[in-house]
Amino acid sequence: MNRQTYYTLDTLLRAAESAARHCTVVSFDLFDTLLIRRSHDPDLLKPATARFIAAKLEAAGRTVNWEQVQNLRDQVEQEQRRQTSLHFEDHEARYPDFMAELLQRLFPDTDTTALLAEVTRYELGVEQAMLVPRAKLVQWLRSMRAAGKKILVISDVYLPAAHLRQLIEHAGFLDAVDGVVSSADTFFAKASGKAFPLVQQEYGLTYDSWLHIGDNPHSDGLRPAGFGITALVLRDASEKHRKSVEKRYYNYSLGQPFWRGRSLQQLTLPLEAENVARPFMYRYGFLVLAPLLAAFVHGVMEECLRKKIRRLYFFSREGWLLEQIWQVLAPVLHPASDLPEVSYLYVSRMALAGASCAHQGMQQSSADIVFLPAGNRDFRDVCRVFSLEAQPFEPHLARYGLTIESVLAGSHHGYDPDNRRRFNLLFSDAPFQEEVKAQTDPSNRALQRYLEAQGFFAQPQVALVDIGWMGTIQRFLFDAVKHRDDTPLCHGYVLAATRGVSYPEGPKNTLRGLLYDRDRFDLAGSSVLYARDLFEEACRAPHPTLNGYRLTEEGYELVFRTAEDSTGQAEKEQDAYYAPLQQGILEGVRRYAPAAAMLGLGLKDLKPWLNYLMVSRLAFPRTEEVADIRHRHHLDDFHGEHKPTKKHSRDQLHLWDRSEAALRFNPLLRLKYFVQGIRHRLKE
Amino acid sequence: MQKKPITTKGFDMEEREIVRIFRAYALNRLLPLGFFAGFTRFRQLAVLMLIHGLGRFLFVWLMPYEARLTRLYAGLRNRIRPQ
Repeated sequence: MNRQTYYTLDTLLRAAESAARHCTVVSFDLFDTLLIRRSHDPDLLKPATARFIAAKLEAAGRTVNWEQVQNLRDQVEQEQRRQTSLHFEDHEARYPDFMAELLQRLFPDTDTTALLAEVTRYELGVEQAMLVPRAKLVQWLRSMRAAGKKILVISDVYLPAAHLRQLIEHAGFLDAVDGVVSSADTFFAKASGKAFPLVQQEYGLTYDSWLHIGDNPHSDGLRPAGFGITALVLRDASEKHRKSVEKRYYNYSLGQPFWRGRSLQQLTLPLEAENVARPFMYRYGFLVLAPLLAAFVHGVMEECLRKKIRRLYFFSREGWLLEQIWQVLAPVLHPASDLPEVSYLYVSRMALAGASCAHQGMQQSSADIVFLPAGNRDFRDVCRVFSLEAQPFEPHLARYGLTIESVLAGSHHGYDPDNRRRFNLLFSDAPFQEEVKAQTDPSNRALQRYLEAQGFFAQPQVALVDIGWMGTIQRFLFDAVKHRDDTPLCHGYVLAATRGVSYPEGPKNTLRGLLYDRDRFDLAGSSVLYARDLFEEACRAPHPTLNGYRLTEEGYELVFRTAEDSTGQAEKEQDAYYAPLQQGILEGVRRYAPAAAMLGLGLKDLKPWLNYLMVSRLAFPRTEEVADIRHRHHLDDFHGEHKPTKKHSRDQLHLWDRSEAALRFNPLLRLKYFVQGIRHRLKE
Repeated sequence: MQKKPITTKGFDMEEREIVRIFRAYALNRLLPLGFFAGFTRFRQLAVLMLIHGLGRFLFVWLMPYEARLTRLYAGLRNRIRPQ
């Protein structure tokens, strides 16, 4: 009997090497032989296409849910199989035919040619993302081709050969294949054995010099062996193991919402030649930050669709990576939906702080924000943040018994609460506010010109996306433009809203934290607060921060911080250090998109798993993780350079600031900080 | 830290994620860690730890008997839960 079964790829390849010496042609099965699927079930792909078609129907004004589309697809496919069974032994179907029939039934009296091409492109795109070439087998295929053998791919599937060629091309070995045969083109399949004589005739082959390799004991073993073809069947134990792991996570996710995120991540794991050794930062970006950031951006998409927002701005500099994540996710997760137009807006707290005072003057809440960072101490820091000249304010301060050096922050030596009380009285002082408005008016006018050029005032509502944390940028931006009648309704979305200073929400200005929001009690989500700098460093753009908006005769000019001083150089060094982290994040996001499309999961479905990731990685991190990731230089121009008191410095020490020795040798350190965190959340 | 592949030999996320989930599950029994939508069951964790940890040996050993084991499993399931 010239049929053998092997349970590992290595043993099969040894046997194949020996058998191929006497063969002139080697044919392979495609799916689960040359290409393995990330998912255990090929049918899991179909709901993604059904959702795509349902979105198209919704755009055409018809409400049909994706389950109905899927049921109709199954029905049409079964009808075609019944039809072919009348004339052929194999009950085969052909994708272009039954999909065209499906679309014709869903979009009657419409030319669906273009839609069929779109649906096919989408389904093949998701299919491609879920297929991985079996590295060693493809390598052996290439060696056989180089040795002069004819290489054929024969598959029993509803996709025609043209589509299979696309999949093989994407997998990277179409150049080594002489012919691709699909049962969808002829309705002759390997299962009945009819495919083999057809291929023999078409390519002029002889059975006794033909080697066939596949995974199905019947179609790739018994049937070809019946013709005298040497058949090697691979029943890969390792592949079975992998699929059983993935199937278990998927099945658990159907009953326990916690496992949905883990099931999704299982589909994103690199396999075969993809699974090379990577540095720690890359792995952390891929496994931890990618799902968090991708789910956040996915959540923003869902919010924009729900509220029909047509314009979205990502705030610099963290919005740089968020925008790239959006560009990866949008074509896969919502290809048929009306997503907003997106762009990157150059903003910063420093650039907007001054501009926000031009019409309403300086608000006490804005000044309170200035004194949150420990390094800010006196009125000179206020001037630095609001881009004000200090000297004209001296007479105004003097009227209230203050100087520009009076200590106004409680964390510094020499602080007197009465100083702060008298400083707060300045906000009701008209001459003081007139001076503030006069100095900040040019930057406000430059800002408005910049926003007009960005189309900010052209929409009734806009989404503003940032990493977090108090929504200060959006606060200042809105304050700077709210005097205008055409100011849009501003929906702010941040990864985490800490609301350290109360955000002035109103009918035209809202802020929401998607992974964590202090207004909604979320203990696990609050783990984000442990390592805010990590997210800022991970998402930050490789360009300097914006210092201000300058009014020019032509319009405006964006003024960036210099990158040549020691801080700029330190940032560049930091960017280089975090580059593998960003690469890992983007690769993880590229895998997240088709997996989420296939499983039909959104932010709400993934939140329990994301909570676990945040708690396990941020609140209970390994010592090595903290030591390798924590920032070396974190630039924040908002922070002044004054040194607070030692007591204040000690009180401000968080888990991620502790020494490596403390993290490694103090077994209860993480628990202590977590319990403290619970107390803070309850107090809030 | 040294370079490592992201997918382990047991098809887990690197650094044996299932063990980390187990520790979080155990800690969550003593102290609320947050909202995990019911988290998981001990039996699910035990099965996953077995599959990740010993799967590559078990599957190589049992693969040649897959058809027989499947028939046995189906027979036992029908006996326990008759359809």
